[in-house]
Amino acid sequence: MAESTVFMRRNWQVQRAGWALMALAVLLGLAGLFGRGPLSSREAAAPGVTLRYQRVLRLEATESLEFVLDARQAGEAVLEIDSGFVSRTEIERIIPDPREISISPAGQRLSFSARGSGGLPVRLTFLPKRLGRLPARFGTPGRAPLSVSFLVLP
Amino acid sequence: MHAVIRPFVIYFALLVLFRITGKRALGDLTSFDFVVLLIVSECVSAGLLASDLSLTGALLAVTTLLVLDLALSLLKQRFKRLARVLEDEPVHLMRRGKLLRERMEKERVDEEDILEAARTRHGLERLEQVDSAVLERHGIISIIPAQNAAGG
Repeated sequence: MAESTVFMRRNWQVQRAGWALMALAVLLGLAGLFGRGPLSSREAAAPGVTLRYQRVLRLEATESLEFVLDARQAGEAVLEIDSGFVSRTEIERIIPDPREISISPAGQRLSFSARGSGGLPVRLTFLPKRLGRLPARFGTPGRAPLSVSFLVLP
Repeated sequence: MHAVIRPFVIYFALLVLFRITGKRALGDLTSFDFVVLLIVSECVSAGLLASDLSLTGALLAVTTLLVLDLALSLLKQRFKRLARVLEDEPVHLMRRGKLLRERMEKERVDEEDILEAARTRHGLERLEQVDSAVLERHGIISIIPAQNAAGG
């Protein structure tokens, strides 16, 4: 029976290195390097809008963005989403339901009914439809938008 | 395109992962090993087809997997070194009645595994009745009985 001691030892070494890599992948997965964990979690703010999001996303998996919008004027809060984000994702759901959605070449504008003072929490769930970097801008009218960048993994 | 690329990536990823986890991973499955395999297939199926539930997508994915398997078997037949890298090679765990402890440890095999193989395949009860034990490429332990095993 053919048996090479050299091959056998190299095989064991490669296997053990592989085990270490697999364990590392599990730990990094827990930490969120591949999305949905502390390493990927981010918070960003711009005038009128605060966003909590995951920096690393997965292709065609449901992801979510959590906004807190300042009411622009009594009874209304507005969120503007740039066309780049809209074209590279499929927006599944917006909670609460916007009172009005208007579409322009620049993107989408969502208007919400807001009562009382304080921020209005808005949750948007979506599916990333393209791999790689996904730049996006979110904002409120007349103010500098919030620029963020996602990384979409396979 | 995705129905071809996804199976391609998953096939090679599984090939590497199962090769790394070693021979013992698939040889002599316990009922729990079998359950783990079912869970693995469940995890993979979502990534294999994603949201494509069409018949065309499923057939394309299956055809891709079978073509890859066929191509790899032809390559292994032609290139023996590739076959050795992909499938490993048999390892003696016991030779001329002597246990090779370091190899057993590295291959995660213990005396009980060798005895079990001796019992189930040759009806042998004691290690002294075994001349050689070989961990085959696919995880099965082959037993060569000692000359005096029948009398033992």
